[in-house]
Amino acid sequence: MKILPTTTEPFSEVVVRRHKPPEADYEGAYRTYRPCLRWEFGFTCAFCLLHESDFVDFGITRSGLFWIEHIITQSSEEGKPVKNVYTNVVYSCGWCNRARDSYPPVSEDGEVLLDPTKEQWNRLFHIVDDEMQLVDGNKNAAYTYNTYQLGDPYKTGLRRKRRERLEKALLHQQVVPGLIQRLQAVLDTKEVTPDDKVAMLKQLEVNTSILNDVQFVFRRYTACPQDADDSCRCKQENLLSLPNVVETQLLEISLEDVFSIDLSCGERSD
Amino acid sequence: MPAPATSSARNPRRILFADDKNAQIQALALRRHLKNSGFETELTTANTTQKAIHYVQTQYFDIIIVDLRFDNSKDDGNAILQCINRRALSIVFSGHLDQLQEEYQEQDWVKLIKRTAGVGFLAHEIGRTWLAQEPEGPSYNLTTDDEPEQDELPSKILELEVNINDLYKQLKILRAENANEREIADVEDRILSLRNQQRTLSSQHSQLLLDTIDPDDLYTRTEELLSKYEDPTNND
Repeated sequence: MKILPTTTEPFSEVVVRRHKPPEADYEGAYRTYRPCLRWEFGFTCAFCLLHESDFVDFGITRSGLFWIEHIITQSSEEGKPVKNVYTNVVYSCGWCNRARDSYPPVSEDGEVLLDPTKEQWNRLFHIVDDEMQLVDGNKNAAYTYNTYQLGDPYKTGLRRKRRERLEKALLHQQVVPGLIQRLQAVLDTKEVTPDDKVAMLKQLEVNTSILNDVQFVFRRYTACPQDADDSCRCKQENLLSLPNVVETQLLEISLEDVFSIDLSCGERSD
Repeated sequence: MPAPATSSARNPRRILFADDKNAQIQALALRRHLKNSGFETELTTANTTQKAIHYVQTQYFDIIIVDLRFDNSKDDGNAILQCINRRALSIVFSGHLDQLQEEYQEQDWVKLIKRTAGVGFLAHEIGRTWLAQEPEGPSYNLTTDDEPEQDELPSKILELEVNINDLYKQLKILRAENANEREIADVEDRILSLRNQQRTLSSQHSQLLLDTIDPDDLYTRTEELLSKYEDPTNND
């Protein structure tokens, strides 16, 4: 099972566009690119790098939390002809999308809004204490950072929540199954005082509840969400895979230890 | 180019109510209506155009409601609209919609509502707008008599998702068939209600034991108990 890293680091390569959906030019046709974009960007906001599962437990579908972002805004004159052009759209969380609003690709001062499919994000941004920060004084990066509010404390909070949860879950995954087995062994084989028996059963309950939570957390932060699209407009199954920049950061979790434990200890309170 | 206005968290949603007539009272009524529909909102009122423009330029709002005949001057509401210029969805109150419809028919960020429509109707329109934009959903706490056990929650959340999907399909068919407004509104209300339940259950499950228990405390307590009975020489 592949889960997200505790923190998604800014990508060390540009996001390479693999999808080439047939272009359509009717009103709102760009919306049909959503499945392509979800896979293209690994269910991750192209700008702040928060994943769909950072926002919601089970599946983003119809939550409105992720949007299709136009690099050249569709409301601008120059954006109208490229409104439905696939290379003009990226996958973005609602917060980045709304923060940008209709700010132009090039500001009045000549600062350029950077495109994650053309720029290597880790040269421009890094994560410090869960907050995305600017690497140096690159003015285009600063314009991008301010426009998309990449340092928004809300985004930092979501990043922190995932890191803390996954760090705890990974630790518990190593330790808790062993503790449960040892508690079960003692309760099955030793003469335990009534007080200690109550205390042990309580610890058994807490430990098994924790293990339930570990399962929940791992399932929540899977790299491919439960509602991942099983087709896209490109109609090529091999494109329904994660981009290299995301894939290389994933953690491979062995669920054997976690899921082989009998979690029915509540019935032992005899 | 000014810095982008700061976007606050989506919940509560932020609304600016720009009207010179009983703005406070109308805003309170609107907030109550929206709360009943499951939307938490934070309302700011402006009873002069200057205040409204200042707020628009310095703060983030999800929706801005403007009375066009502001300060008894025909053009003042327009001045606010020009300043908003796509920064937020704008709802315009006016007694003369006909004149405005032509001007704003191409503007998807402007919604026109008759001045006499009332706050209840306005709240309903806002709710439907948020639904149409696929919002993250209302977030008020739904209390039920039979709250599910913690372990059952994920399956309940997914079950609700299936039901919501079915309703969306139904809604699509109704819209394609040009069904009457009432039928469509009923389905939309049911979707909102299910999304409420889903959101509430989801947030309950988000409060994991894992979040609150310190791993070191847990391990130490368990080890202390085990040490009384386990053979210290046995390393297995």
